Amino acid sequence: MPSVGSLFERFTTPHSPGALLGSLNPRWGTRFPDGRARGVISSISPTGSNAALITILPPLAWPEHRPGQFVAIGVEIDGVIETRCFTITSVPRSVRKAQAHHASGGGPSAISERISLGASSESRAIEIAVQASDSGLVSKHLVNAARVGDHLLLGHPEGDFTLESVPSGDLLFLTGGSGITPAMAMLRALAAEGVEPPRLLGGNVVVIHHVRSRDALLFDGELESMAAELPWLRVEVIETRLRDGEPNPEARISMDRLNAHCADWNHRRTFLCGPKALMDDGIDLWADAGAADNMRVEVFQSVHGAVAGESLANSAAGSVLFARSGVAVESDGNTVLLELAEQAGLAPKSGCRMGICHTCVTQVHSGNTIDLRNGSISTAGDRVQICVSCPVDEVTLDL
Amino acid sequence: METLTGTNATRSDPVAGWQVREDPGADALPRPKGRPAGFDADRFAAELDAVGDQVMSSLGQADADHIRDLVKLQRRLELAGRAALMAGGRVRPMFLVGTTLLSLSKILENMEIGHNVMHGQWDWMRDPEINSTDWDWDNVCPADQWKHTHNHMHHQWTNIRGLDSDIGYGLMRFDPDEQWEPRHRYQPLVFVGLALAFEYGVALHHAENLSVRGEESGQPDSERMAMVFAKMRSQAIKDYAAWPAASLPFGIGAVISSLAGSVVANIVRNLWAFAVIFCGHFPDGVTFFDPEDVEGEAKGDYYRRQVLGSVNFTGGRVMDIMTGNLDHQIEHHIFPDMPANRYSEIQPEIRKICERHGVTYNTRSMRAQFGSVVRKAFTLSRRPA
Repeated sequence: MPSVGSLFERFTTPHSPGALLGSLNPRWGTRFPDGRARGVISSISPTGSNAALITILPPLAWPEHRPGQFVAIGVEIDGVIETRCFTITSVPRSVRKAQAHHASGGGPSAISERISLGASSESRAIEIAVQASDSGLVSKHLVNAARVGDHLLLGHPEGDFTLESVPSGDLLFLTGGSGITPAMAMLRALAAEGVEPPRLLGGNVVVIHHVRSRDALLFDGELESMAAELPWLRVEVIETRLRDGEPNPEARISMDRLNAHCADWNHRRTFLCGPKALMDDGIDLWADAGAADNMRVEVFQSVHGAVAGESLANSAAGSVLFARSGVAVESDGNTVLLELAEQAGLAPKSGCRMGICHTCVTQVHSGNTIDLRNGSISTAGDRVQICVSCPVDEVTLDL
Repeated sequence: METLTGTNATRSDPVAGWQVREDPGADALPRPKGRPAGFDADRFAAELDAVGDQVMSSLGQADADHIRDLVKLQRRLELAGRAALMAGGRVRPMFLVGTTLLSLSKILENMEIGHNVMHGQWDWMRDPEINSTDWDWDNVCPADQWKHTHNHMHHQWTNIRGLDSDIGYGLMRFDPDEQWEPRHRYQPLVFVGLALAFEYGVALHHAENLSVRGEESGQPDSERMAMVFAKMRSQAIKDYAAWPAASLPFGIGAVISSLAGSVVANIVRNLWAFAVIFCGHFPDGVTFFDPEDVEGEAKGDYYRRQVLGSVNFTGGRVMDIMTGNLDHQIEHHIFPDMPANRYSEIQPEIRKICERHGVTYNTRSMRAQFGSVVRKAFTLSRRPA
């Protein structure tokens, strides 16, 4: 028996029924060939400084995320789909519904309304928190130009920067700037269980958050409300700029500062997410303390430059033959395959350009490539993400 | 999709593609065989590229809206056409309305949308649906095979005898210098037959050509033919079984209306596509080349060959859309991956550059161009005196 979908496909081939429906109403076309789907912005509210909390209604049957996961979001800017990744800061709908049920029972541990769960209990919406940055094409668009009702491309929730990825016990979130977002997602999920120490946790939580100034804090005071209300949570906010806007030399994370804020820091399971300087310092400190295994790290910045310069300094400069187009180019060993292809006049499909969305996955016919994120080497037949891979010898690509 | 590198690129081996000429004494090389004296190939290429670069760097929202709106329009036309055909069982005029809408939809889908999307003209949008990797069209020729034979063989080797298999589709003689064979006697009949069944002719022609050039694709013939037959089957099920069957609740008349409307719409699309495509490279005044003509060809020579081997015809905005902008065949052959909605705006400048460099720019009315194609189909069918 053919499925209903394949029955409808008889009428719409070679296009999918969803593609046809999507042309009538964008909300009906649920899936694209690469698995992405359309979402629609259901609310935008400014927060902090030049930032916004944005809720997005995903299509039906969109998979539920785990708190701390991110989603690739594509927006159309001047005709081009630009894709970046954002943490989902709302609590999964199933947890929200359970909490609403719990609260309506008037249990003594119900949390106050000042602690939001990112979206109402009935809504299928997800929330993201976007901090616009000068160089951030997509973040600027979302904060300044996007309107309620706009359509977005949504990937599936991804990532394992989540509570489930660590054993239960005391936690530390070391965060900076918009790096607070995965911490907030997890804190809200824990808070949804009430003011008592949540089952998921089995301990207490310390947040050491770095922000330019308190005015720039995301989430409209919700973090402070949580700290005031939840006995198992302590939040330290460190301002990284002085009143005159100069960098605060005291703000940099150090062994002394860690000891002062959280004496048992090197025994806690730690989530680190923030600007590159904070990440570098954090990784070094934990490594020096022999506690690197306790730490989980989320990198949202492009790997270009950060990792590329170092790991490739001694790798051989390769050459690339793009098999389908018959174009050959030399590589300096520092340029990723996607950029080499674009420089050669090709236009391979790409999305996030940072190794996340898998839009650019391409088969390697022969030769070896290196994945800049982890140094892993691909061989012939592998399908690699060309936005984060460089050739190490003579590579033939299916492009 | 061809990619050319640098204006001093040269091509010596017809299969190797463009390579940058590294020899500093390039000027001392003998003039390529196909290049007339006094033709400044590098300057010709540079002037054309300047026009192309200007357009490609200005692509934006208006262009994206053009193709997205067109896809939406086409799909609405198709659904409206199918609905009208269902009503055509009871209300006779609806049969005509439905057939017209469905014909229009299929023409748009194949020409301004399918052909151009599969050329990669819209890949810059990074759209998850409208891109040359994933797109397939409402036509029995499978997209992957079309992309290979059309984008690569036909566009790179336009009108070169023995390399561009689209010359007369291997069935007809449109090149007076091609050896006459007895089978050419029947070419007026073949002409009409191919026009009526153009999509089938194209599908088989492309599959056969890939087979002849098996070295270029690793796929066995049987697999390739299986793909063609699978596509023919799914297209036939859609047009001649699924939609007519869905019309049954409205009576047997609706079934007949849906079936007949689909048949007519496919034929109308075939006739129109045939006319547009045969106007592109076969009318009077178009040039055919020998493989030796491209030896040592620089990018400017390549552009010159594309212009001489292609033919424009005149028309307004409606003609542009209905032909998939192939009324600007010359501009399309110079810039096959430029979004087609931009061809009309660069056309005057391209024409001026061609005229300045003494490259014949062939443009007349569609009637005149197609008339000359029909005349050739007859005159070249006869054994030369």
